Amino acid sequence: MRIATEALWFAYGGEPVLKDISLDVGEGRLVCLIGPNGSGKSTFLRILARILKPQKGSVYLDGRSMARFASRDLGKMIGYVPQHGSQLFSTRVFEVVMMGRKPHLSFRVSARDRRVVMETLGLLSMSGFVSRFFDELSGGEKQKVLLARALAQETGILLLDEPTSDLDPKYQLDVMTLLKRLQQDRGLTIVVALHDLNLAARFADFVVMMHQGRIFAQGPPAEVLNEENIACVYQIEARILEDGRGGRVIAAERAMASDGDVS
Amino acid sequence: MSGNGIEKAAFSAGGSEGAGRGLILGALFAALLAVALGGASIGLPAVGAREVLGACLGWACSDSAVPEEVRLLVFDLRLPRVALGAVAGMGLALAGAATQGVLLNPLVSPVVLGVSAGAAFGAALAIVLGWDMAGAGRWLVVGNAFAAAMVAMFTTYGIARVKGSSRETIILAGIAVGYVFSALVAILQYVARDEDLRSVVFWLMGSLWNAHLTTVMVILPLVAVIFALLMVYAWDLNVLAAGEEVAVSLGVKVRRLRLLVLTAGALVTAGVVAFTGAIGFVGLMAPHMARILVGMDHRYLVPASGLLGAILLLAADTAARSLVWPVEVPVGIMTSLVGGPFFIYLLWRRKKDWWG
Repeated sequence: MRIATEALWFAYGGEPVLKDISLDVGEGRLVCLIGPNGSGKSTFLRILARILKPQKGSVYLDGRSMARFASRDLGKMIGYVPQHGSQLFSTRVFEVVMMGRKPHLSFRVSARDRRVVMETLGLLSMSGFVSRFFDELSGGEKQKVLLARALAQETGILLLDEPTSDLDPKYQLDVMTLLKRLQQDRGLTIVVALHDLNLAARFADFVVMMHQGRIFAQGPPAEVLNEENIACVYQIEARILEDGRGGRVIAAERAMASDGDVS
Repeated sequence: MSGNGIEKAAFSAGGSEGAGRGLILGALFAALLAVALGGASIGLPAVGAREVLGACLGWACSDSAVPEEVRLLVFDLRLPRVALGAVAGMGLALAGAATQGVLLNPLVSPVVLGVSAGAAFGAALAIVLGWDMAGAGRWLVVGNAFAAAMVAMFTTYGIARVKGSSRETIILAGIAVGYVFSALVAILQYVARDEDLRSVVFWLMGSLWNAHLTTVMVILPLVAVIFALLMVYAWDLNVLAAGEEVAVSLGVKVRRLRLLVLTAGALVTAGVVAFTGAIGFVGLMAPHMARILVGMDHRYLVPASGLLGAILLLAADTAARSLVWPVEVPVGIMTSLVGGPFFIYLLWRRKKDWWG
């Protein structure tokens, strides 16, 4: 599925945190949202996930305004993994992932629902965790279960808000590799907010750099993630190094004086 | 392992491992019937369980093998009271499960929305204004209690709505409204004449002594409606446990769900409490016990809560009117007296938290 926004404006009350965001995410793309804290990434994702309503502008799904869909149908089209995992007590992994079937369920759980849950857990190599309690898992395992819940929704679009921020390097790579695989094998359209510029450079096929509520730059990672953009948006001096195997590594060198650029 | 087997294994969450949740519901239903039979037999004069059954069956096939006075005792006194206890307990428990489910807070019951305090004020006002609890005056007390409970509920919502309807706002607004109504009740008690004060205090303790079949007929539809509502929205409530944002992204209309379920809970509570007076702890305790037995899935949690509420109130009422004979202890005292320690025991025993 394709998801696009047109001139989105959003404010929590005072100063707008999103200003005139227009973005077109084509079907089957893996798009990374990057930008410093407070640049509007999470707010933007929350609008796409329809948790927040923009004051101006609209979101389009395959060219149709999102406002024209029933919320249950939207639940079959857009999956969302929030930044801070749910606090679920006394709930087993199976039940957590089954929640993703909500838009498809009426009252009874069908054999197909069960199969989807088990297949999704298998896909994430989490089958062995099915009857474990969710709140007893490690951070990385929880993140995978929450991802499994969104996948069990069987949506065309997947939104993830910093899915790697609490994870050790192995789980970070695990999750990103998995997203790449889902994009390639299932043709999922994925929008993921990330803090790690190197993960974005390596896995995204399109990068959207946000700064102070606006889109500062967008395009392929090699174009967007250059030294000038990083300096301007993150206030750090960085060097882009070739890793000798066709990839690039972004090395943060030092923070710039805070009075450098306040535009 | 088949998906079904896994679900059985996975879904015994928090409950007795292995036992099917359907079986637990069946056992609870059987327990309710047993407690009801006991409630109809115990008392003065005691009636054998066989005779109670005989009276009921005899009534069904209009065969009068049972003595007339037993039939009268069973039908006019015991059964209305047993039926009221079951229906009221069920209503309070369902309302408790509803409020806890949408506010994601184990400490709330409709009491927290100010509903009970409102009802108490309405009843106290009616009594102090001179409507007695006998005859037509009783309906005025009931009506006034219900109306005041509604005022309390809508005041709570009004405040919460203006401030954005978050869970915390609703709870805090409800507590504040409850305190105001409790203060008003205290004023009424302070100015009331002695015999009115007695009635007010008696009302506040909560009891089932004034049971009629008409009362049951008024409460029953309210209970049926909230039960149906909670079952229809069982999955919505299940995913709400994962947080509002996740629920929204799964297609749940959280605000509408919250308003609908809270209103139903408040209506049922107001309906029950208006007749019986403030009966504490059933609404808080039954859902907790149900969670221990069947886990967090509302498709099972809701019926289990209702059945447990009915069992608890029936058992408490039977004990209240037979333990300290010839004095009848108001059942509200009994539920709090026994319920409090039992609740602490449950907290002690439980291995896991339900919500943060």
